[in-house]
Amino acid sequence: MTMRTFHYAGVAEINVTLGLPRIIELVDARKNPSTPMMTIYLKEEYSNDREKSSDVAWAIESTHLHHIGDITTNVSEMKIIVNIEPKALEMRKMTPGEVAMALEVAIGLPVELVDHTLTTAPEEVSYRGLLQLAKKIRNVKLKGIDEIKRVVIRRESDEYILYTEGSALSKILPIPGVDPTRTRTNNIIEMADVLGIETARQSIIDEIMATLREQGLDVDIRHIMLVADIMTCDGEVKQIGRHGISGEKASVLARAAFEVTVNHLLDSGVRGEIDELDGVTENVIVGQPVKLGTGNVKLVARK
Amino acid sequence: MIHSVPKRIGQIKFGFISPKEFRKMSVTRVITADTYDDDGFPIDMGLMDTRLGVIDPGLRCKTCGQRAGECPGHFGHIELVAPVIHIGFAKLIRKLLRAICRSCGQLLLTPNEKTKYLEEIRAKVEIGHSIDDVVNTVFKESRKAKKCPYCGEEQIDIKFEKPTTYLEDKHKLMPADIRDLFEKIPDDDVEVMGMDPASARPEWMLLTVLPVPPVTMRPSITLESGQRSEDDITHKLVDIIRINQRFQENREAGAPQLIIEDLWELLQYHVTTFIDNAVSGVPPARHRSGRPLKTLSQRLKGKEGRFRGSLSGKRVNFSARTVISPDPNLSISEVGVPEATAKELTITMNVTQHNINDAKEYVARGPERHPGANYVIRGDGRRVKVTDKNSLELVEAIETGWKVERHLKDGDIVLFNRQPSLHRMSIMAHEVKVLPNKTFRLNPAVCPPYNADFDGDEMNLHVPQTEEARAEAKILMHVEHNILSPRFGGPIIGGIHDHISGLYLLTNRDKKIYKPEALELLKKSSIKELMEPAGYENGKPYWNGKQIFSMILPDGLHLTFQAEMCEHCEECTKGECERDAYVVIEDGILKHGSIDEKAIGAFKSKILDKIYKEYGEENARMFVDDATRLGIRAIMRMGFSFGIDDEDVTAEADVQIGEVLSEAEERVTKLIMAYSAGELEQLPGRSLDETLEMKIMQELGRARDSAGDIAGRNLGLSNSAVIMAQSGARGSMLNLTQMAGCVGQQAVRGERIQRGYVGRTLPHYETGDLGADARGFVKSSYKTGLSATEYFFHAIGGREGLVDTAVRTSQSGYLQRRMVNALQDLEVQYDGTVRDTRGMIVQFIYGEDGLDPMKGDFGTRESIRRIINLHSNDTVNHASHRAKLLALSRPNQSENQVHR
Amino acid sequence: MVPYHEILDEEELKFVLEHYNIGKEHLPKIKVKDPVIKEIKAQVGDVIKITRKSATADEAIIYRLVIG
Ligand SMILES: [Mg+2]
Ligand SMILES: [Zn+2]
Ligand SMILES: [Zn+2]
Ligand SMILES: [Zn+2]
Repeated sequence: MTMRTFHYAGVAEINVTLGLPRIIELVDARKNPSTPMMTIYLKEEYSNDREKSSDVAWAIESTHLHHIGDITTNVSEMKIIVNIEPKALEMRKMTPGEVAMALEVAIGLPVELVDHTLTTAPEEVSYRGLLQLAKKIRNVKLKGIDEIKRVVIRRESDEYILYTEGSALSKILPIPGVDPTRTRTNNIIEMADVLGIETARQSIIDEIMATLREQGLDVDIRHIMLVADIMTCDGEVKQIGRHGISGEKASVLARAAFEVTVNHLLDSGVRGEIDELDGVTENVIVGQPVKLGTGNVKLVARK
Repeated sequence: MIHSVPKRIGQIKFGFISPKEFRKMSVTRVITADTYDDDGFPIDMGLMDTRLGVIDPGLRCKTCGQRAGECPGHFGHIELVAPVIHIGFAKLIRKLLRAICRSCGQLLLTPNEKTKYLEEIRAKVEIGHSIDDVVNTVFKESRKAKKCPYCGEEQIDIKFEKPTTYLEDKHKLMPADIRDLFEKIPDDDVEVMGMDPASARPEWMLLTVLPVPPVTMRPSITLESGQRSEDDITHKLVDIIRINQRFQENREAGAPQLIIEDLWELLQYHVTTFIDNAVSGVPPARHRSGRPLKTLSQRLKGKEGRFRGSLSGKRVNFSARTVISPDPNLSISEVGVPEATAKELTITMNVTQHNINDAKEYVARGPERHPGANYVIRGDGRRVKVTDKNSLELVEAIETGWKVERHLKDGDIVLFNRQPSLHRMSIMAHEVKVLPNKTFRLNPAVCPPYNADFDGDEMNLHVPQTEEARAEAKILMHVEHNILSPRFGGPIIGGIHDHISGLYLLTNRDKKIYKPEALELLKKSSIKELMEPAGYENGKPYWNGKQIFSMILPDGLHLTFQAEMCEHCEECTKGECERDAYVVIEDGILKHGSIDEKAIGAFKSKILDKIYKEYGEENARMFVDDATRLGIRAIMRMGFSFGIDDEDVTAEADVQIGEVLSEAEERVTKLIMAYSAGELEQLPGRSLDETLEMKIMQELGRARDSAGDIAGRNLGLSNSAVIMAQSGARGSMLNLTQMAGCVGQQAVRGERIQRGYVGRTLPHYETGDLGADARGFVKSSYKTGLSATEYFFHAIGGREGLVDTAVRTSQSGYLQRRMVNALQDLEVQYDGTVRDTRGMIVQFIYGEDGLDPMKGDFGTRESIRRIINLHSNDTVNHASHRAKLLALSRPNQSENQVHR
Repeated sequence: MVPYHEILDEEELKFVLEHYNIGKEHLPKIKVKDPVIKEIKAQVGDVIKITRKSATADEAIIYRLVIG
């Protein structure tokens, strides 16, 4: 399998892990994929309306103070001055007053608002205090959902779809306008937590197939379904490997032959486990025919 | 001879061995650390005691009376003076100490809690889930207890110091005390802690008796100097016995407690390293040379360890390995085997009335002349080697019931394999063809499934020895059976390289082919009669290339598709296509179009796919055989070569390419100027720097492509390289572009080359130069040659490629191993369900429709529909098709039964 | 995107287990804390019938045992 990492085929603006690293990430069932991303579909009355869909987008994108204006420190007067850009504010449907309020609540200090300029000063009059406060102000959250770093709106086959950098499915679904039946994230664990194991299974299939297709590899979906089914058949998403399926196999010998040989043998002793020698590896290890094909048929010769 | 029913190991139970059992299975107690006496004879009750088995030829085992090689070896034991901790269980002992009462040994949970957890454990076991979670809560909960609910004893927290020290309020717990305490744990409590009291009593984790492995698993070797060199395990055992003795002497002499404790520690160290010589916190025991000893754990672990190295993968008999080379005259289902190999590998014939004459012939020829025999096995089971001297004698003696180990001969079924065996087509069954010389020969058309080439690749050959094995090989693993890949249901075997070029040359040009030439082209195929000629010239009949190719197509084949070389014009002119890229086959006759990769190539062949699915696998094999032979004949007839001057372009083209490149450079300069002037418009979601880089990359990429186009056009469609690239035989237009046009941008991690000196890539450039050539754009072509700086950038890009492949192969190798391990035990049952070894259902119907991916038309249910269409009016074979349809639709039907 | 889940009644369950000749414990599992299970208020030990949209068979029906 030769797989390259490349930009996302659909949305050039959002970087998404692809190729072999992405496949490994998926079968590892990582809690946090390296590039979490959501595809948010909107309800009908929103999805055809550019205005409404961009309202949703601005509502969920996390907006910090530094997004909407310049922050400067005035050392001589020990003041911090925020110059709000009216255009940025207008896009986000906020007023300077709201910003001032949010800032006041966040830092717990009085904020002075004149036109589009906010001014505040640290409690303790020191150079360090000033810098610290400036830093804090920069990252004051004004609006949106923390995890969502960026939202891109795209029109695809007659509707507007939001793509987000970062993922927080449980916070997105209740938002008015969002179509919870189609909205998804590329984080399978999150899918399992929010929408259940069946949905996680389906998204494993979708994600792997999409990754393979993007690489131009034609693989029958049934193979991927089998992988997804074995990952989810115990009711939770289990990784393919030592901490998942391979580590929980029925056979001691099969586990020992895979990884961490000695520990599996010791543990099996503690538990008093019995290896029924049903699988392939076990029978190869003890040197007898595997129970498949001809080996599956029991035929006893009469003496 | 009566065939006994083969014995089969039904199950293996794991558990601890109790000291009692250790003594029972031991054949002798080992008390002395010495191995051999002065005469080189094993000392009684020493580590090499002959009761433990024998390794020296000539000696007999005192336990079983067998010789070296026959005796499996027998365990002995060492009585340890004081108990020591088994290092593998150090952590479990800690958990147990914290979970139980320090006085009465009971688990520090209320009876109710115990029943609750026990039930939980049993529920988990029933559904086959891991009980680890429950057991861990048991340990966590019981540790919280401050006072024993049974005897009221105040509990003291246990501190654990790696590797084997347990402290109770700074007072060290001796293994003997721990052992005494563990003996008090009731069986029921042991079960709550996830242990099986019948096979794993906690006190057995502290060793009082140490088993001495048989000599056969630690053989000593005699060096050239006559000196004996002992196995690492023997060395370790010597250490243990010595310390054990000293310990005993000191204890009996009433030595002070401090010395006793020191010796105890030392004994613990030696037993620890005997079990595992890589425990963190314990200095590994070393050989005199300083090499760490390989003790028990080290023997089991890792890729070369017992499990992965000797048990999961074993060396086998009846196998051969040698270099491979191509032979287009073989069928794809054959393999050429050197005569020397064929004389070494044998197949056992059971002599019956029907084959006794054959058997006699083989034996008569002896081991030296080819289809001969190496051994006969007489009726009483004795093996007799066939020699030139005794062969005639044996021929006379042969009777039914004997066995003859005859040489491999033409037509035998063998398994052929090339590593890495990544998919099932990496091992396929071939028919033997015994040939002179020393390499395995195979048809180049089967290279793709094996991923083989002939630059020194070696392959393995295995000879199945039983009738069942041969049947399985033939029915399941035969090459014919593997023409289609289960990955996507398309052909994976097919023409490559010259096969494609040859057939392309044959079918693309309308050339008159007269009878002698036509016969020569078709000489190697199974065609018996030539078709109606295309015309006559001077009274002599002639054919065209398309007709010649048509002759190897089966009758009744209908197919239309766009060839590989099709340029996907806006409006396809179909039969009128200028480049003859629209293939039309009617009733087995090629009417239009050229044969190229899309038609007969591996992975892509439309014709092969169709023939396989409609005419069966044998016809498919025959088509590949014929097509590849015809291809080779054709290319030999027409001649085909590629040399350095084939990548020369005309002077005008050179000028044109130069213009294109300098225009592109100009545009890049403009972009940079716009960037530094701050006029560049930022792309959404990208920074200004990124935007510039993307735009420059785009510009230069476009420039390279148009340079390639110019070069390609200039070389023309008759250029060998163009023919190969267009027909899909080898190489691509990109290769050509780089050879004749312009090599293009060299990239590291998908970006232009940035690093090197401060602010520049090489000292040849000014700091901050963002221009094309300063950042690794190679203007030259491979033909003209690269300038010094270009060459350097090219090396940077090339190196990244090499590193990437190295990293990726190891990554995907591990992924493959994990995938295989996770899925290998799943099996489709007769009821259509997919289950694991426990019988747990993973899928109710394989793939939710029960279809084999290999049999579907590139994964659709098209094949079923096609069969229905094909045969709905067919009355002759109606019954058989009904059966076929039924078989195909059964999975869905059974589902309907369930839900009505 | 979430397929239809429903609790299987006794009779149908018996039929399914008989058809496949298995016990409940051999079915695939689903956690009782799975959001969909919480929604349909199934208990540990119930068997859930799930009707999936299938890429290969249009519709596929599977069963899962609710576990703790
Ligand atoms: Mg090679
Ligand atoms: Zn013996
Ligand atoms: Zn107690
Ligand atoms: Zn065309």
